[in-house]
Amino acid sequence: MKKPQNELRCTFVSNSCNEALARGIATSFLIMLDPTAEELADVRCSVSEAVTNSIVHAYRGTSGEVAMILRSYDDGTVKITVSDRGCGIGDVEQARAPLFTTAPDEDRSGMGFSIMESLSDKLTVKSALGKGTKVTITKKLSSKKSSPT
Amino acid sequence: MNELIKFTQEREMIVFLPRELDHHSAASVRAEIDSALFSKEPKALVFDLSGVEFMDSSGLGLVLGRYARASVLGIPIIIRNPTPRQERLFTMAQMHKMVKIEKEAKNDEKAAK
Ligand SMILES: Nc1ncnc2c1ncn2[C@@H]1O[C@H](COP(=O)(O)OP(=O)(O)OP(=O)(O)O)[C@@H](O)[C@H]1O
Ligand SMILES: [Mg+2]
Repeated sequence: MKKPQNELRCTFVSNSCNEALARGIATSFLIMLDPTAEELADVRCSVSEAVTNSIVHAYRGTSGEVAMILRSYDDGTVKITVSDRGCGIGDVEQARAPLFTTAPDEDRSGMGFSIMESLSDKLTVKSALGKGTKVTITKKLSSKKSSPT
Repeated sequence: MNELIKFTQEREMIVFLPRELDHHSAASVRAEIDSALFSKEPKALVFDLSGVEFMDSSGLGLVLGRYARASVLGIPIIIRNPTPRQERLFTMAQMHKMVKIEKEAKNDEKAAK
């Protein structure tokens, strides 16, 4: 893909209060691109799922850094990458299956990846055990107005 | 701010879930819901979503965890006033088979927000 037309990078510690912060940052970035209310809600929810996974699963029992990079492109595409250097996922295909969770006793529903998939145009998950996980959410905005005003 | 839990005369326990229902806020209301559930043994446990502007899978998890406890006590769960978006999440997770999804008239008010 071509060079992004805008880009924002941030890193925060894996405190659960930063789930709302990450959604707020994504909202501020997207608002400049004039998304529909539905598109904005889709992205806010997807970001929340990815960041929560890093906080809940990747750094279970410890804490670490979560990095989020937001990029927008001329054709209205937005790509958001959420990465951690936590425990990693052994079997990504299994993890992505609806209702699969390794933490049912912690009130997890196993729907995070399925929700991200259904709310975005593309979801890629790269992970290595002991190294960490990188999730990329791609969403094409209908407005096409990708230049910040 | 609204109270979290209210009991009706019909012994329904109504939980008014927070505006931003994520993992962080779910963790902060869970204990209070559970202790009321066990000490009062209501006729039904109602999650009122009228005030919820954001919900992700942590909302599903919160309800699922309460479902596991309430079903042991034979207490049915009702999800009241979800937005269409919230209802879709419950349906995706197959939870419409475990809980009753209900809409009140004041839904219109919420949609207008
Ligand atoms: N960043 C991550 N690091 C390590 N493991 C992860 C990460 N993200 C997801 N997983 C693993 O993948 C599983 C599925 O993730 P998913 O988000 O679909 O469900 P969940 O987080 O368990 O439940 P929910 O998202 O519904 O609360 C998790 O249970 C966990 O084992
Ligand atoms: Mg998850």
